[in-house]
Amino acid sequence: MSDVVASGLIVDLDGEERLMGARCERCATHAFPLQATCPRCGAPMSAVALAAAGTLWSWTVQRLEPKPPYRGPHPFEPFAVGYVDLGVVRVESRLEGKPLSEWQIGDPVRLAAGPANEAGEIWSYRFVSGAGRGPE
Amino acid sequence: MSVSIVGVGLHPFGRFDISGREMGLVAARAALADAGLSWDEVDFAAGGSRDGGHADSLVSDLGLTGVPFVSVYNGCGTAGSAVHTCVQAIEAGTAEVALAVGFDKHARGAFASSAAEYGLPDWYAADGMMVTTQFFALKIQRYLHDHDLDPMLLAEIAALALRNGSITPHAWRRRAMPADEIAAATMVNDPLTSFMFCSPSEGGAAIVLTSTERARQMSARSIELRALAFRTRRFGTFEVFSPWLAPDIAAGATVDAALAAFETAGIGPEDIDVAQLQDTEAGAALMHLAECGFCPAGEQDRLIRSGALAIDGTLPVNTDGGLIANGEPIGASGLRQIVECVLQLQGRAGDRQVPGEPRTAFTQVYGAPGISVCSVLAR
Repeated sequence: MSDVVASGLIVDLDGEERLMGARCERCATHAFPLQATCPRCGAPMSAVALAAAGTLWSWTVQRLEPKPPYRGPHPFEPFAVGYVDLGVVRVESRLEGKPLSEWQIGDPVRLAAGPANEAGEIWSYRFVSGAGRGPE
Repeated sequence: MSVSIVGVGLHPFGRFDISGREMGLVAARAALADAGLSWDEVDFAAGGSRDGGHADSLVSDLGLTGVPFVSVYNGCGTAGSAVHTCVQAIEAGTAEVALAVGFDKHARGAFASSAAEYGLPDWYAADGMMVTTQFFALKIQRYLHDHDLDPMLLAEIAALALRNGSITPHAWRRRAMPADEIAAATMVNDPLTSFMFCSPSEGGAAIVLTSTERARQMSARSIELRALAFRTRRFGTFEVFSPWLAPDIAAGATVDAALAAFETAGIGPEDIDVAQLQDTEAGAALMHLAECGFCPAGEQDRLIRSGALAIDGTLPVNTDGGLIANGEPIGASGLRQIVECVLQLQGRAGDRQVPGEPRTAFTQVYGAPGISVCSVLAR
């Protein structure tokens, strides 16, 4: 399987890792990940660093192994996944740092680096239990 | 609208040893026989299938009459799109008699989806987030929270579907199951257990349509398609395969399609005698009751626990067991709903016949990536 590389997904801003999102130059709509044109009005979007922390907006547990191209440990390990409210946008993310069934809507979470490929490049991200610097 | 249904046909839903195309043929021939028409009297056709073969290739078995046959694909809305295409041809005056057909034959388990086909980055699927069952769980988890609804309602609404499936000859799952057993089954994606989901399956369904004027000449039992509305999502809705959501969640395509269908039909949700709703899983069934206008959001518990949704209730829903009991052959599923409504309105639904000679019916499909087709039927 070829390496999954997600260039530009995570940026380092003043020593803090942030997800790279997009902001519409015309209507200020935010999106994630970075995309060229606005899903609301079609105008160009520019890159913007999203907040490094937020609150859990919804969650579930993936208890069955996803079909390919899912790339996870063998044997399969169930994982929590949810939407994290970052103020301007809600980002879907794998969740770590709590027992699977103990997640609750409203839990504070912060960004962490995800898995790396064989070349050592980080290709995804996680949100982990705990407070951090949220949306301004 | 001025279009009516004069024939319906099904191939049972489930798992079978024949191809998807063959199930489509069975359904198409049954619908033609029900209408008392032959294939060479059909002057327009539309059909769809995701995994069962090319719909337009049915002409090589039905007969090479030169008929225009449009193949469509719109995810779970595929069958609805086929009907929509036929209705437009009849209303435009370019067709007199049209056949809408759908069939499918899916592999077991949740659909595997390609990130690239949805315009999504590879990492999204590789990291395990491109999973349909996961989306349904995330959406209903938040909905239950926002509307302070009891998660047990999910098991109760699934039990209603399986009870109806147990008395439906063409259904796949024929065993009724109490809500407690459904709630205690294997958890797939919290809060949804295995028996709260429909599964990809196999089957075929078809209808024959013509102008209402001609339908009345042909048959005393024709059913009028009073409205058919097709909508895609607007900005801000909560859809499958979304790496992000907008801060304000907008009403989904179902709300728009249902409103438009009722407006065209000139009647409201309170006038509907029987309804078939998209219950891809129990959460969808719960949300669609409100999205179609049958109750305010958050008041589904009253409808479910009063018995209103049962076959002898005031608003019988998914009388043939819905997707939960029939599975979802994508190309056929929306047509199955219309076939069931026609049978109910004609008094031909057997053990599951809604009492009191229902006069009006409603169908709703909803699917990726945010489309809905709703219809209103009446006799």
